[in-house]
Parts: sequence; structure tokens; C-alpha cells
Amino acid sequence: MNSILKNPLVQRTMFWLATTLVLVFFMFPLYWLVISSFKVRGDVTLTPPTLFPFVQFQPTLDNYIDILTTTRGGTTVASPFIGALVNSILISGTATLVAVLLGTLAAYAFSRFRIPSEGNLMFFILSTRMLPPIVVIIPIFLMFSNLGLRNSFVGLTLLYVTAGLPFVVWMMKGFFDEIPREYEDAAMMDGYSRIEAVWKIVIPEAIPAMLSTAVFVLITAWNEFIFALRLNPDKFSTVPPYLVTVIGYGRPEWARMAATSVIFLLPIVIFTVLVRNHLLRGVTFGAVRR
Amino acid sequence: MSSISVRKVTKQFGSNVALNEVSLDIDDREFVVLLGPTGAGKTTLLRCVAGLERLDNGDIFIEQQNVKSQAPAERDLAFVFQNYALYPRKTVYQNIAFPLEARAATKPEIEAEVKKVAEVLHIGHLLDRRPAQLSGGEQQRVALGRAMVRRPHAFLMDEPLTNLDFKLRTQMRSELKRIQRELNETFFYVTNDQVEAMSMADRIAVLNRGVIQQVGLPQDVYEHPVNLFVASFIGSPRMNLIQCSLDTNSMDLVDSSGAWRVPVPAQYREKLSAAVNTDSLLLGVRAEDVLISAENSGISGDVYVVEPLGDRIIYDIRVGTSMVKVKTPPTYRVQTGSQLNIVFNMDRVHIFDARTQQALI
Amino acid sequence: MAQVTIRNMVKRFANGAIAVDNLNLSIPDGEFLVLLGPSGCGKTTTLRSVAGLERQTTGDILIGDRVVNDLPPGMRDIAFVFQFYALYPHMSVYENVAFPLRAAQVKKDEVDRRVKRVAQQLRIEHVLRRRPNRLSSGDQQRVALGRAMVRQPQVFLMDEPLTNLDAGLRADMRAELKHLQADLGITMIYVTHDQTEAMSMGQRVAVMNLGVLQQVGAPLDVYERPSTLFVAGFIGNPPMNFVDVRLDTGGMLYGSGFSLLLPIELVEKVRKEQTQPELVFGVRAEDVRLSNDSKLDTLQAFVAAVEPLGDETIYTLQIGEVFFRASTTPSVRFALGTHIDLSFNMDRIHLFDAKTQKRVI
Repeated sequence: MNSILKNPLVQRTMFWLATTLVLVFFMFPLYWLVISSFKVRGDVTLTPPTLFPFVQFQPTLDNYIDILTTTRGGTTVASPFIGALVNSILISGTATLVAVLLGTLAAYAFSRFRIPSEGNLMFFILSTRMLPPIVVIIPIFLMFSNLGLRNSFVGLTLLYVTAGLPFVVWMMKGFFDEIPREYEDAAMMDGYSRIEAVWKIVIPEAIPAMLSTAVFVLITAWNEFIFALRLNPDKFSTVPPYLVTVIGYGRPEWARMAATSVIFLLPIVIFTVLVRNHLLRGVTFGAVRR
Repeated sequence: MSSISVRKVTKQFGSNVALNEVSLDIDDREFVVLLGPTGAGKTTLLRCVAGLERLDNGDIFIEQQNVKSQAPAERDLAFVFQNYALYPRKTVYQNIAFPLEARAATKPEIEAEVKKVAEVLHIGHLLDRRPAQLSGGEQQRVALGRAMVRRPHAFLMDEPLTNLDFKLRTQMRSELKRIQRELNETFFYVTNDQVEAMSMADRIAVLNRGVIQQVGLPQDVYEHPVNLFVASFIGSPRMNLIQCSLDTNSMDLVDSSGAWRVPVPAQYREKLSAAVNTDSLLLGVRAEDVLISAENSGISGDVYVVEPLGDRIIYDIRVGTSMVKVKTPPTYRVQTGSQLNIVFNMDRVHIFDARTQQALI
Repeated sequence: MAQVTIRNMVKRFANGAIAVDNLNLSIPDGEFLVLLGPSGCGKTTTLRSVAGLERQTTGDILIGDRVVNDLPPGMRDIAFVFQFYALYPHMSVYENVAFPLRAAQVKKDEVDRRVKRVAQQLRIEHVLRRRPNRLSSGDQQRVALGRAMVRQPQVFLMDEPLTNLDAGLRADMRAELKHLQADLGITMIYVTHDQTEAMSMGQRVAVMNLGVLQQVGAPLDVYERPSTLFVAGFIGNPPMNFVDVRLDTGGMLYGSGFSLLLPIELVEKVRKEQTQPELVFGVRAEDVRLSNDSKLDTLQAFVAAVEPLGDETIYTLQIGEVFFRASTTPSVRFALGTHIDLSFNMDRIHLFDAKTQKRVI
């Protein structure tokens, strides 16, 4: 028994077997979603379910065409979903960019300078994340109404920046604490100002951390539902509230929902894949002693 | 190539006084080592001179010019950091070229300067590598190269040899000294290693708890420490310190256990009779000034521990309630537990007031 | 207490790197053995294998007469001391010492009996009620040792326990630990990269490099008759001087810009070993003599660096392209940049085979 387990071939086989099992377990819902988006409506709810395209069912693009277009007065035009998607990309993207840039600068200051009652300030920043966002929805709604920020691009973006900032400040401060301050000191001794030192030496070092922080901020903003629903119901509506409208009345439109979800998923997946190399380095920073 | 003058510099971090009215003059082309234990304020003083820390009080002059309000870049000093602070994303070449780019030198100029420095430091073959691909000793040379390349007023060095292994450290000690002589520049060097300080310095400044204890030539500081701190910080093994009191009638020093007494040498009697706390003195004797004596003379004790070091053997001898370290040549060998007698070379002993911690002789 | 035997031990890491290569080592009951070597030489891996924290790839480890290969660390009857000051600050000394027994659910009166006995052995009875931070460093060390002793282990394993202490304290702790070990008669395997620590503490020193045991022996034997070039260079401060030389038929050693006539009896010894003529000449700094009168056997040398250390002065001397370090008493003074005469203590020179790196004489 013991000797069988020590055989390298057996060990390797068991390793891959276990890996595959775990992978199937975690990836199955996603797979389900993707194949459902290519099924005709009736196929989705079949029991037993059909799992293999071309073999068990004939994939179709109808759902995608359906949700991306709409017919108005006999001509085919882009559906409101496309508008919502563009809004989502613009609002979440801008919010992420602004939050990461502002937060990085704040984090640098917290890490490098003696700031009076620094501990309290850092806690205060974190404390904004301690209550469920829903409890402030009424004051925010009223504030935004008075300031004319409802149904605007700026309003929701501003809100997502505010929500993302504490996370960025905490993550990036931890990262900057890990970068020896001697890097900037050395650059300043070498004849550069502090701003130049930060720009030329520190920021290049910080990019992996900034990118991985950005992924988290982006996902949070991208998924946000309740504020989007309440503050931007019409013109600047984002995808999450729109998703609800796809469900349909009476009989749920599972296939169309699946197609919408897949498209909703894509931008995040693309961004994450693009920065994946940095992501690993960024997420594990601080875990290893250098 | 400049003189540096530190005048009554005080620096506080919160309620913690890192530097307390520190004054120190470094002559043009001098190699001054600032020596002290961890937390003494050495690095803070160095950073104040560099302009990386703001002074709470006092002034710093470089070539007679007050630089108190100048930014680090304006002071034209080079700083070598303990962890070298090489830019990880730049190649060795780019690291060394970086200070020159700040002053908008042309490309061919930069290249010529970098090559020249690389040659002096024997790192020409490393120019395309990145810092992570270098050994500790090579990183150290690159850090030095980055400091040298713009021919600064003076070099400030913060424990640059600490991260090297013992053998390399010994080598770099004389190497750095050679470089200083060849460059003919002012070096202000911080370390907690007394061997480094002794071997490299033209003058040593000993710092403890933000206060300068003593400034002087290495051998003078070793032979005439002004207080207990300097006496026990410099020298290896540490100076033996034995509690005793002065018998003012016979002018003998009496061990605190009363087990033995030694006469105070004639040349010190006058000074000692003026001492106030004659009942709590510390007799300081370096291990090389304790001698093994004949059987029925001197102070008897037993061997507690034998520490063979190869070129010498250190014996820890228990005499009365005190422990005395004796340095002998490796040819003298006795076992743990043996009885033997020791005498002190009284011309080279030190006597400290245990209360004020100051040297009396 | 028990002896430890390591038999044909090999440790290969998953990536194929060999950390320990066929190690055979036997540590008799009651011995203080120091495993010495640079980082990555396999000394810590060896220690961890004895402890059971790692599993050797092949070979056996015996504690007493028992093969412990398959026993987990907790069942090997060993104490592993990582660092001396790692006492629990919120517990009294008594509680600190009793802690391992409480974990093993020993009965209360038995705990009391054993703690008191260990306290008596270590002379810490008077501090049992105190908190660790109120103790002298020597007492803290005793408490840490007491915590290890109370389980009555067969063997003590220590992995650089003194590394993080400052130099003065480290020297004190060294002597104290050595005395305690001899006093209590415990078997101890102690790992360090510090050759001073190894020399001064070990009854025997085992030097390792690149996973291979180089030499085992009493400290002064290893110092005086290093069996390989590596051992010769690793032990001793300052490191031994080496020159690549070629031995001609007339008994002359030639290096670059340097030549030396070997005494006839040494030449015969070398001949007997029948080595190839490429050798490495080694001489320790204390065996280099400096003078101002040239004789037949002196070489003219240029004083390239002077490092006064207080109790001795180290000179770096240049002959041709070869550098020698010489240590002298501080009363000997030669000026930098002058020429002096140099000779060697020919009874104490070393010759190594340049290819095999093994000692010839």
C-alpha cells in the first residue's frame, strides 16, 4: 500500500485527478451559464439537462441577437442593453481609475509622512466600509437629488470612487510600507525632487499593486446594484438593474438572462486576464519577506 | 571634498529625543566614523546631514555654508544606504547613470562617466544586470558607484557593510579605505561595529542615546575612554569591569567581596584621592592587560570557561564574585576548573566612578 | 542524555538539489558539537533532520541506540532551542519553565518537583516568581535553557540562538552557555555560521560546505591543521592569506611577483605526498612577521593599509600582485605607503593542492 502511494506516476495521477475534481466543482456553474446562453428557451429547463453542445443540443445565437437588438417601427436597432453596458464600462472604469490614483497618492502620504493622529485617520477611512451601504441610501438619495446628481454620469461615478477609496488606501499603504523608503531617499540624494522620485522610482514599483487593487475596485463597482437602481434609473442606467428587467414576466427568460450575464461578465474577465501576471504578484505582496 | 560641521543639532521623534545638542566637526578629506549601538541616533544624524530629516534645532554647515534649509538634492552629498537602495527595475548601468540624468548630462557624457566609475570598482562586466542578479558584495559596489559618479561634496555611509558576510566585510573594510584615499574625499561613516570603526576611521565619534560621548583617534579612544560606555563598547572581548572601593589610607583598591586588593600606581594616586565616591568604583582592565602570574603571587581564581579562538585563547577566570576575561597566546593551555593566579598591568588599567560613569584616570 | 549518530545521511530537495551529501557524524554523550558553515551549507538541514522537522532522503539517524527515522519530533526526546530570548513575557519564570510540562499534562506536584529541580541546577530559584523582562540577560538564558531541560530531553539542538543579540551580550552568553553545558553534562548540537562562536564554544567543530562535511575536530586542531582550503579560509579572523603558487624542483614556490624558498624538510614532505606542482600557499595573519631589517629570508613589501583594532593592528602588505594581512601588537608601527621586510613563521605555513583543495602539509 505504502509503496504504491510512493510511485511517482501514481502520485502524479492522483494530483491531476484531485485538481480536475476541484476545477469541475468550481467551474460547473459558469459552464452551465455559458451553455444555457446558447440554448433555445425550451432546452434550458429540460430534465435531465443537456450538457454537451452539438451532441445533445444545437447551439444558437438567437438569445444574443435578441438581447442586443430590438425592433422599433419595423427596423432593427441596438437594444437598451448596449446603452447600459456602455454606461457600466464608463462609470465603473472612470471610478476605478480615479479611486486608484487618488487612493495611491493618499496611501503614499500615509506611509511616508508623519501625519497627526494617523492611526485615527486610517481607522476613520476604514470605518466608512463598516456599515452596509443600504443604510445610507436615503441620505445619499436626498443629497444627490438636491445637488442634481441623480440620473447623471458624475453622480454614480463619484459614489463608486468614494466606495472604492478606503480599500485602495489600505491596500496601497500596506504596499508602500513594504517598499523601502530608501528608494526615494536615494533618488532625492541623486538630485531629484520628491515628486520626481515617486514618479520615477516608486510608481513603477507600485504598478502591480495598483492593478490588483484596481481589479477589486472595478468588480465592486461593476456589480453594484441598489444605488444604480435608485439613483440612475433611466438615462445612465448600468447593467445590474437592467439584468432584472430581462427576467421577463410569467415565464422566466432563462436563456436570455444567461446571454446577458455572459456579456456582463466579459469585460471583467478580459481585464483580469490582461493584468493576471501582475495580479498574482500584487495579491501576495506582504506575504513574503524580501 | 568639503568640511562638514554639525552645531548643536537636536532632533525629536514625538517625545523621544534622538539627538541632543550634537556638535561634530569633520575636516575636509577626513574619514570620520560615527560609532554607537542600535538606537543611538547615528542614522538620524547622518540623515540630518543629508537633508532627509529636518532639524528641530541647531545648524549644519557644509564648506562653511549653512545648509539647514536646503533640500537633499541641493546639498550635493552622496548617501550609501544600509540596504543599498538600488533601483530594482533599472540595470546596473541605469542605476549609476540615474544621478547624472538628474542634472541633464548628455548621453555620451553619462556613458563616459559610468564606464569610468565601473572600472574603478571592477564592475564593468555587470553593467547590463539588474540588482537582484548581483551578490551582496557586487550590490555594495554598485551603490558606491552611484554615489561616486557625480563627484559629490562628501560621502555619507550608513552601515554599508552590515549585510555582507564576515569574510567579505573584512575585505571591503580595507577596500573602502583604499577608495577613500584614492578619491581623496570626505567620508562620514556610520556603524555599530567597533572593529569597523577602529580599523577605518581617521577619527571616531562615539554616540550613545543621542549624545556624543567622545571624539578622537581610534587608538586614543581605545586607550583612554572617557566613560564607562565608551570603555565597554570599544574592544573585544569587552573590558573587564570589577566593582571595588578605594582604601584611602593605604591607597589600595579593594575588591567588593574583600577577597583581594591591589595598590593604585603612584602616578594615579593624586587624581584618585580627589575622587568623591571612593566606595563605589569600577576597575577596568582589558583582557590583554590581565597576565597569568606565578603560583604564589597575584589574585587567585579558577577557570570558568575556556574560549579558544585560534590565534589566542580567552579564559574566563572567576576571582571572588567577579568574572575576569584574560587573553593569552594559543600556546598557554589550562583546563576548565583549574586554579591560577592573575595580575593586572596597572599602568594600563582604568578606574571609573560607578555613579557618574565617568573615567577618573 | 544520549549520543547521536548520523549515518550515511543524504538530503535531496524536491528540485533535485542536494542539501546534505552522505554525512557521517557521531556525537558522544555529553559533548558540545558545533556545526559550522556558510549559509546554504546544509548545517540547518542536518539539525532539522535530527529534530525530525525534516525527513532525510536516505540514511539513518540514531539517538542513543534507537533509530528515530520514522519518529515525529515530539517523540524523539529532544529539545530544539530557536532563540534565547523567546520567553513568554506574560508568564512568570516558574510558568515559563512549567509550560512544556503543562502541555504534556503532567500532574501538578510532579510539575512542581521538576521545575524546582531544574531551577536548582540552573541557579534560578530566586527568580522563579519574576517576569522574564525583569531578569538579566544571563538569567533569561538560563530560564530558556530550563524550559528546554524540564522535559528531560536526550539532546539539545540549537539553531543560531545568539544571532540577534548585540556583540557584547553575545560574548557573555557564549561563555555562560558553554559553562552551563559542561556543568550539566548535556549533549548539545549547535548550529552557527560564526566561526568565533564555533571556536570558542565547541568541544568539537564540524565544518560543512555545499552539503559536504569538510572536517571534524577540536577547535584548535581545526584552526592549526585545516584539512581543506575551504576550512582554512573559513576559520580564523582575519581570514588566512592565500597565494596560488607553483613548486619547482629546487624547492622554490613561485606566485605572481612573489617567490619563497621552502625549508628542505617541508620540500621532502611535499614530495612524499606526490602532488602535482600547482599549490596554494596559506599563512595566517599572526604568522606573518614584519620588521625593518632585511635578511636572506625576508621579502620586501609595501604597506597598503593599516587597520588599528586597539589590542592589535592589522597591516595589509603588497608583494608583486599578492596581498598579505599581518596582525601585530599595537606597539609595532609602520607608516602607510612605506616599504618593510616580511617573513613567515615557516613552522606554521600551510600548503594545499590547488586541484583537490586538500591539505598537503
